[in-house]
Amino acid sequence: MRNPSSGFLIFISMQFKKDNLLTLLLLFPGLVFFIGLFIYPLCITFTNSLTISNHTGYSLQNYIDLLSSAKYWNVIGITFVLAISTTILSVLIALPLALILRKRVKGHTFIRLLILLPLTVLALISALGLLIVWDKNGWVNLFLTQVLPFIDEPLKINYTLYGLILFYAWLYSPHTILMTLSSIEGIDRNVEQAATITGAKPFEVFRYITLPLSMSGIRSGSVMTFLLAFGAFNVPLIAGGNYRPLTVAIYTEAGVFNNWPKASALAIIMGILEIIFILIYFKLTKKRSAA
Amino acid sequence: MIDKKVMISLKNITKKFGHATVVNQLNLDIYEGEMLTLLGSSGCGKSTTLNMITGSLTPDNGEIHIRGNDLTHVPSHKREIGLVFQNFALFPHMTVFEIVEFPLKIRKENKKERKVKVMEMLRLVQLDHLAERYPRELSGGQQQRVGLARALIYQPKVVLFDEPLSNLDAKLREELRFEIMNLKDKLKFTSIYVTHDQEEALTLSDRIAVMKNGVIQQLGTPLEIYNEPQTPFVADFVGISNKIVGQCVGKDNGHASIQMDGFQLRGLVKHDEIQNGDKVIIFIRPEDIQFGNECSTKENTLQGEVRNIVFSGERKECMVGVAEGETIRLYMNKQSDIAIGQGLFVHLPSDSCKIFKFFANE
Repeated sequence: MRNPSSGFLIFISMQFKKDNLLTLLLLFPGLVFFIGLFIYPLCITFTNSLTISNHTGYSLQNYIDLLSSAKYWNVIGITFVLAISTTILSVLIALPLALILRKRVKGHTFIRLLILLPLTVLALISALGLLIVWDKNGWVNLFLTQVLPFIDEPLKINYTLYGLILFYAWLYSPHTILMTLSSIEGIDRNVEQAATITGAKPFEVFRYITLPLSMSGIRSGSVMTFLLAFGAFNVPLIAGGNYRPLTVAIYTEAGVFNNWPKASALAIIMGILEIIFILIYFKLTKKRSAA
Repeated sequence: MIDKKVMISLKNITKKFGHATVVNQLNLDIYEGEMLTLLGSSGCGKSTTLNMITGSLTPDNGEIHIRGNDLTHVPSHKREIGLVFQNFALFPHMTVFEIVEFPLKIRKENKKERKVKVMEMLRLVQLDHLAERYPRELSGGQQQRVGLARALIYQPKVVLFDEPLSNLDAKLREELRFEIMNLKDKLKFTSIYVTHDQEEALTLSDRIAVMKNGVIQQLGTPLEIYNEPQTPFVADFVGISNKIVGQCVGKDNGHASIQMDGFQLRGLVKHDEIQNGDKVIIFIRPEDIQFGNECSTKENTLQGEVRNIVFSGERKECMVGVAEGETIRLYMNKQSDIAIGQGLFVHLPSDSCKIFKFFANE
């Protein structure tokens, strides 16, 4: 009897026989990069997570401690709230924007450049800049309280959850916008016209034709936004206030309390959560776009 | 034509893109149950006219009436028109069934009734066995059948065709042409058919409007258009004609004598005013030309030499050189044993020679 892994080895060796040395050579740098900088650290992190500081031997104690503590569930919750609201916000910004931009309205190239702007600025710089702009005495609040007659109180944005989501959206929605834009601009306008002529109202054309046809772009863009928001570190560290997502918690464990095993366990939990979420997300949106 | 009701009426329609006038004060009535073809080369304004009827363009001037209602400023989705596209424009994310069902779905029809109607329509276009397929899994001809079914399922009174067969190969084109005619007989819709293919126009239409530069050059039945072109453009554009350029040297009741380099022809003058000395152009169809080894009449008979013979399947096409730089194209029976280099008398019946004033951009 052959077990599955030996079958896999036979498959690999067969591939080697067929392919020439060149393929292997070309694969080599990528493999080294992938194994050295991703697989190896991941393994280290994983084995780390199974140890307990000042103890020898392996155990799941770190995981048990983390998952039985309300504090860390709170951290996980905030991470998801931040990432999901950012993703939703980015889609809500991307769709109307893409629908307008594809009509090549006046100044559309300028707006396209503006979309790229957040990508060109370091997250750290962005966060600091946003803190200044949205400060109690910042430009936005100065404008609101000094220029507009009906607003007296300055808006509280900095160090609030809404403020953090706003910052996240500014930083990470370009990915959703760009992917949505390219898929919406790829739609054959004749197809939408065909739907209109058969009697579909503009909203029905959007609902049944435009949206399903741009779903692939929205999906891949929003997944990128989600992952970036889920893994954001600089921004919540300096602009998060009391809202500490997983990344900040991991940093605190490792950098402040020097508890690397606990930090490793948190990192592994974070990775697993991300993978699970993406699988669910793809399942859900796939159904939507096929319907 | 007396008791026919006007279905679509275009009144004095003008459309400009920038400085270019694409459609210029067009007036056209389309009768109920009729198939009218807008025929013309690209840029003649035929597609623009169609787009104004569907509502995707708004005319700068003039009105569009369908069944007596002014629809000039009514949005597309309220016009109850069917449209068949050149590039099919099927919904790529839906199955054939869903595509054909779509117009009924947005009309909020009962689901069961929808299914019955869609399957019936699919049977009509012979696609009931492919209902679960996606457009990308179909051939061009099948895709256009879906396009037809989608345009007809909600029983619009008016169905527009925007070069529906241009993306298909020759055999399929003919097949679908007959299918469209059959569907029209069965479902009795009024239609406007846009094409640049004159053969399609001649075989499909009840009437043809030949367009050029945003203006209708001639409106008539296929027979009228083919046999009695009123302008040199129509004579040139529809069908194949020999074109001979010469100078008018004499006129007598409806006929004129035209002098060419080394020979003279008599022909019919009907639609243009021609004076002695005018530069003119004679159109004559290859199939109207008679030929033989002996000379039977003197008038309009030229002696020439066979320069080239092309076998095209149903006939032989023959180029006969009759004078310096002047060749005449004529059709022969495919069994004909006339060979290249042989001498031949060609007779151009004077009533088939149509004389127009010479025009520059022929």
